[in-house]
Amino acid sequence: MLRAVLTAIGALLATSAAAAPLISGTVTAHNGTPIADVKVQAEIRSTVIAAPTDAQGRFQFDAGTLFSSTELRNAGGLMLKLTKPGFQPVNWLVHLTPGQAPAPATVRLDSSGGSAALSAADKQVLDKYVAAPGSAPLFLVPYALTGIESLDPKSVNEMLRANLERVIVTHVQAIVMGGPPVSLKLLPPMEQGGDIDRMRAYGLYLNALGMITGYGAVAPGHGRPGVLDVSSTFLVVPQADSLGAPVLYVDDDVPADRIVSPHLYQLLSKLWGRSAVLAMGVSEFGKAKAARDKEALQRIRNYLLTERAGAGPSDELLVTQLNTLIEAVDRELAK
Amino acid sequence: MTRRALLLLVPVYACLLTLAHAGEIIRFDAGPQARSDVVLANVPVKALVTEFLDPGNTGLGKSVAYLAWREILTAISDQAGAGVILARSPGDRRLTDLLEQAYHEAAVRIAREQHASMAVWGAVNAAGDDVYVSTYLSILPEAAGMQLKLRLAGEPPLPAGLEAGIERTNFNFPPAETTRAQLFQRPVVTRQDAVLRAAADPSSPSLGRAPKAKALAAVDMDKGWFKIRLADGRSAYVDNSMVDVPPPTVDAQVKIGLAKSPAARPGASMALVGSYKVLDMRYVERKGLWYELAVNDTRGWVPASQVRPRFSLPMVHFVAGLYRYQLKRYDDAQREFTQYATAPEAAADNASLATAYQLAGASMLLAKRTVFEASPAALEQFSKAVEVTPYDPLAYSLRALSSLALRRQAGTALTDLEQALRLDPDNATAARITGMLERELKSDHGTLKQMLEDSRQPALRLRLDDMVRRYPAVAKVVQQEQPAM
Repeated sequence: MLRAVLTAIGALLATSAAAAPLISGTVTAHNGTPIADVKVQAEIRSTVIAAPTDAQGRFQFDAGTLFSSTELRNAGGLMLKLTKPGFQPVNWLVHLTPGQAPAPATVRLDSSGGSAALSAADKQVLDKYVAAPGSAPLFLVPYALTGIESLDPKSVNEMLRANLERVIVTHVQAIVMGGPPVSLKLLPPMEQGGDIDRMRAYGLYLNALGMITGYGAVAPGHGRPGVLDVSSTFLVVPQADSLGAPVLYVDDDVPADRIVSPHLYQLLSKLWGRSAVLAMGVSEFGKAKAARDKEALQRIRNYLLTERAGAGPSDELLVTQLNTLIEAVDRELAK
Repeated sequence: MTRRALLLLVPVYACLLTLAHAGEIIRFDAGPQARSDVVLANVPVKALVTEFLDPGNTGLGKSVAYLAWREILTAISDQAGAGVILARSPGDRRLTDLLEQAYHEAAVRIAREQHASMAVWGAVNAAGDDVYVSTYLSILPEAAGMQLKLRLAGEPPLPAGLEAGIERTNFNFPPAETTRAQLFQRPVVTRQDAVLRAAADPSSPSLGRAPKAKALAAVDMDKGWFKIRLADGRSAYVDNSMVDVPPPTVDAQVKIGLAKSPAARPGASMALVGSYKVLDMRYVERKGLWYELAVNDTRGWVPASQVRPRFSLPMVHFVAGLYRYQLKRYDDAQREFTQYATAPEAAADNASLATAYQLAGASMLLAKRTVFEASPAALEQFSKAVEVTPYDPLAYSLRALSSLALRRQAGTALTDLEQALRLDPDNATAARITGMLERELKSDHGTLKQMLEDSRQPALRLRLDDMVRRYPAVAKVVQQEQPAM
């Protein structure tokens, strides 16, 4: 069954004017990517909203506008509470010394991945695959395959990876002229169990554009080579929360077919090629919006329209998703 | 004054040199500095076919590329000024290993180096006897003859800008599901006196020779070699460059007499309706290409012009259509695009199917000197494109243009332009055509106004005024200076 969820998250208000003592800092992800729109609260006895982070992950506020001079004078420190959906909250203590400017906070937020926080072991495995800032690959978590005694699961997954990468990349290259390179990297076997939250957590940690996985079993071929029934998931994992862009994900069950069959890859080419374009649109939209880059917004609009132009009469869901994103881009362009 | 309208395609190639050529380059390196000498340097319209990817290591990547190459060559064999180049990796190295995921850009790069206007590539998978072939086409954006644009022109001249271009340049064709037997069990015809060898290797022992124009029964392929079953039951191998590869079948719907030999006097007329297996193929000077067909329990020759070949890979028809289109063979182009559109696999990709319909429609219009002679069926092709890509503003703009020319009705064209602008209020093509219509119809002496039958209807004026109000992009065109003709 095809499911899609679209959520729009609006940007928060800009920072307030500065006055001594100035509290400032930078918030980044574990790979160094700045995180925008992090909610920053300051607490002495009461908790008040200070300022969100900007596109560079920076925040700054005048504590004198939030607390009385008595409160500030009596407090030895001020607790910053940094929160953002999709990330584990962090508390950061700022020492207040009379007559001295507080040191800027340098805060790192780890993705929470919804209900499935990553274990230390998971992180250790994933660390060497984390995408560098500026790149956003797709990742394939090896399919959980059973009944394939005659086939080497590693070679099956590599064949899946090669074919999926081809159908996705060719689709993206046909739509997005001169876009960033797209690749599909094969991860080592990971725990997944069909848990979307866990996959999302992996994707956020890896700074991925999308995550692909699935499971399958070989059915008897009745004298012919066995038939592999597979169920697949494509999860769009843009850094959308941090960029105020729409979030969407798509997962789907693909009808049973052979692992090399064109039916499988034709379906996946349409579904996942398009999901990859959507993911790219979401990811690039967030960046272009933060940078107020109208040229980039126009380029994104163009490739989203090109993707929509190839849609058929039965592709209403795709068109709905594309329209949501196109409307968001148009709103930014109109500002 | 007589008002006439015709549609023009701009720009197109017009060079005619010799009949179709085959060329092969063997160097295909991944490095950006890699260079190959230009093959078929004097041929104006060329496609480049790269070795097909073979992720499952089936060994079929080279064979299927050779087959696609030879099929394209057959499809354009009577076309002067056309050539096909095959690029394969040297020795036993696989293209997959060389190019990884950059193969598309690599194919385009080599096509560019070879001054080719099209790059064809693909991938092959196999399970048992079943073979699945994915094919891709990139039209090089800078290829001048490949700017596929329909322009409404007239006599006296219409203002410039009443035009719409097919902007799609990359095509992911639906995979062809076939078998090894369907691909390779077929007649091949020697181009010249050919050596038959014991193995798929030029150094293997000779088993004899086949004379020129001899139909051989191919049963399989091994890299670039066809495996042949000889009359005495033995197997032999012939290099693909020694043979022509006819289409496996032809589609026919014609009443015609079968000839006993190519270009001979035909026998009693009979109805050929359906699909017929091709047994042999011959090119006869000044008589064109001929096929020998299996018809019921008999066999006979028919001119290729009377039937429609059906190649193993639908992509071949699309590419052949583009050759014909570039070289202004519009009747042939329309046949090829229609063959593509009627292939069972074609419906699986809306974008390429819509483009095939649009190019078939454009070919039908361009085949005639003026639109007065063109068949209204051309409009149906543009309508089919709208049906399969209903969210594409260009599909509506193209139908609007052809509707203006063929029906001479602005009302129906406006309905399409309104839909295009509903889909994308900033769509430059729809806004330009709408704005120019508004300007032309407002003018007392506009050529288009004289040409269109419903140009003086008040309702039309109201609709145009409304569109100018609703769509700033249209208003902007209306306010612009009249472009130079």
